[in-house]
Amino acid sequence: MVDAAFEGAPPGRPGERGARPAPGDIARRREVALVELADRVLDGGVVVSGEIALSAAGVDLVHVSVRADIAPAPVASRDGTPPARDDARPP
Amino acid sequence: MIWVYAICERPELPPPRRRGLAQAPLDGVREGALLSVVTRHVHPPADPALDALWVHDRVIERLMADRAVLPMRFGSRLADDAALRDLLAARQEAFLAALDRVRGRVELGLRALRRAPGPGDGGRARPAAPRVRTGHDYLLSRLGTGRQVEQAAAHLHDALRALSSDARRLPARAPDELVRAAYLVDRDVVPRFRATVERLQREHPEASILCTGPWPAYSFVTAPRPPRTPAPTAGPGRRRASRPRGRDT
Repeated sequence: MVDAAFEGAPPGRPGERGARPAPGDIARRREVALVELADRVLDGGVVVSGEIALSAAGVDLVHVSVRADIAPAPVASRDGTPPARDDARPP
Repeated sequence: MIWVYAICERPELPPPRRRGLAQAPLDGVREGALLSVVTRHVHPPADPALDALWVHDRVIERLMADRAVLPMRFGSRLADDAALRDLLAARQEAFLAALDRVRGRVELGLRALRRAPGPGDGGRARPAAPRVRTGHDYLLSRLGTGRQVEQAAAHLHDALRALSSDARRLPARAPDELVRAAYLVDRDVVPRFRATVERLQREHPEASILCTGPWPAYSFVTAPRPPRTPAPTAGPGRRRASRPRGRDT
């Protein structure tokens, strides 16, 4: 039931304006997909009044580490599997 | 301690035979009309943060396959079953109402970013090496005119909100974000939502639109915020008709 992230203009989609976005654009999209997960599980959801494992500062730290981790590693897609994209081939 | 993943309806339906954080098997804690899905731990799970985020999310995704689910925020843990039962009993009505709102629906996320110029753009969108001296310069160089940006953002958001049972626009996280928002959408509307996103992308080549999902309804576990009400000192005639921020059920 889990879908992959979908984008308004998937890379390489024919007929779109700018059919092949710049590598920087793709990297940014991947960054966004992962940050979307972090935003949801860290900022959304039901909050219990008791213990929360991550403080507000911790959330910021995770965000920082998410962004820092993006560049070297292929980013997991929506369901956590690395995307099969030509620019994301594992070494 | 127990780590809590979700609060569900159908308490008679046991949790799936899956594992959660630290490979601990899922267990259910039942209270009234609610079932909470948990794993039990002697010490807090020490998985690397990013992996743990995915594990937490996947457990909730699996639960969504056969019941309405309220996802818990990552890191929700309680001392024991009694504490969890107290929580479920104390907020049972609010949880049941929230389950009614999310049943049969999924959350879709939208971010629209100002598109970074590609090599073929000839630097039209932005100089290749902008002279950025301060954060203020940076904002000016990236934002263009604020009104145009806000119009584009409102156009995107309104078109997608029309397909949603609830929608929440979220504060931007970065200066190049035009829109960050979450939409609660009937499952069978998801294809139409996607098609609309693709159309909006064609209409807004200046933006790079990314839509993610379907997600559990992380952004819709609380009731829609009531519209800003006049100050208590305002006279009775000043009360405006409430404008819902996204319809409720």
